[in-house]
Amino acid sequence: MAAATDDAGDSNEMIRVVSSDGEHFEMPEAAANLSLVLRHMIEDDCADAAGIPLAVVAAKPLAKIVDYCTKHAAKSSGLTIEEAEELKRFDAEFIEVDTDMLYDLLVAADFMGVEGLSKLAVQRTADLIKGKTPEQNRETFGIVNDFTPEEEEEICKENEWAFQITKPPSRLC
Amino acid sequence: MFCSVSNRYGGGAGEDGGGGGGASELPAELLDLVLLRLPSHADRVRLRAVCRPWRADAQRQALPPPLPWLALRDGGLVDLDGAAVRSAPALREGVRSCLAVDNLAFLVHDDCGCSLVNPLSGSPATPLPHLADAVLQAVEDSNMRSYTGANIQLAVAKVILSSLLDFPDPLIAA
Repeated sequence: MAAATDDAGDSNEMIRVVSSDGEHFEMPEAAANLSLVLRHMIEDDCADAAGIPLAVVAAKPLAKIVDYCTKHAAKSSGLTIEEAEELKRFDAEFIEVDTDMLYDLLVAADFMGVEGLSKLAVQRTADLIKGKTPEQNRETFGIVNDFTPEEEEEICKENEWAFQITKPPSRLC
Repeated sequence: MFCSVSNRYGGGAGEDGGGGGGASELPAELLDLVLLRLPSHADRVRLRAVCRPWRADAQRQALPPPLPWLALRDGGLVDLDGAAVRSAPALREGVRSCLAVDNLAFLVHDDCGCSLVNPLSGSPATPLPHLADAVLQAVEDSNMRSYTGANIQLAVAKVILSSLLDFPDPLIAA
């Protein structure tokens, strides 16, 4: 977090936010402005020393989001081609997270209205789903198969061809 | 990393970040955004078969139209995203040309006979009457031209089915 504040944008003002589990974070105002929710809070003079409480964002995803916003705010205008590519690389590395964190980022970025991060997380989720059987998707995302065997059989019959990327295991999909 | 199965579904694991959910409880509007980035018919069909919440959400959106598959020389099929669909040996043996969409492939054989098959289930081919010479020529021409790209005046061959091939005695018009 401390490192993230080094390359602040033009605003010197630091905005404090508090995660649902009580951790405090700081970021430059320009970074906080990338979040629609924080921007509105700042405009309404709700940003004080106690910090803006984010009731549904835990510390772990919030730390990532602060990093993301700080990086993007520092590089937001007049990008050279090299800088744009560097930002792209940053994004690619940034979103290489496990699916629990990806889920938290999806929900938190949506809640906080961080559009760039929202798109990044949605695209990453779609990329993980692409080309996988239902069973592989369940494994990837830790989802329990809650269909009854009868329902499953019916689903598989609807579009039989789609489930045959690999040999079906004991259960149909 | 992606295979680390940490099932948060109903488990209420450590973090309270997203309301304790898990991917199966992804809010519908977020799943909608993900769906928009999955244009492949096959991906969308498979997504519906993951779990009840995903099925319910995904069913609110119409499936994208099935796009043609590309048949490779080695008999494989790929969709337009380049993902392999499944090897289809039926396309290799004595088949002169093939048009495939969804679970249906229209084959023209070396002996000028035609048939319809489901290239994925490997169901037996449904033989069709021989095409009239003129139609056969049109199919040939359309294939030739699609390879050279020199002539876009393609002949269009259409096959109409009255019912699924699985049904006994389907009506077929070509």
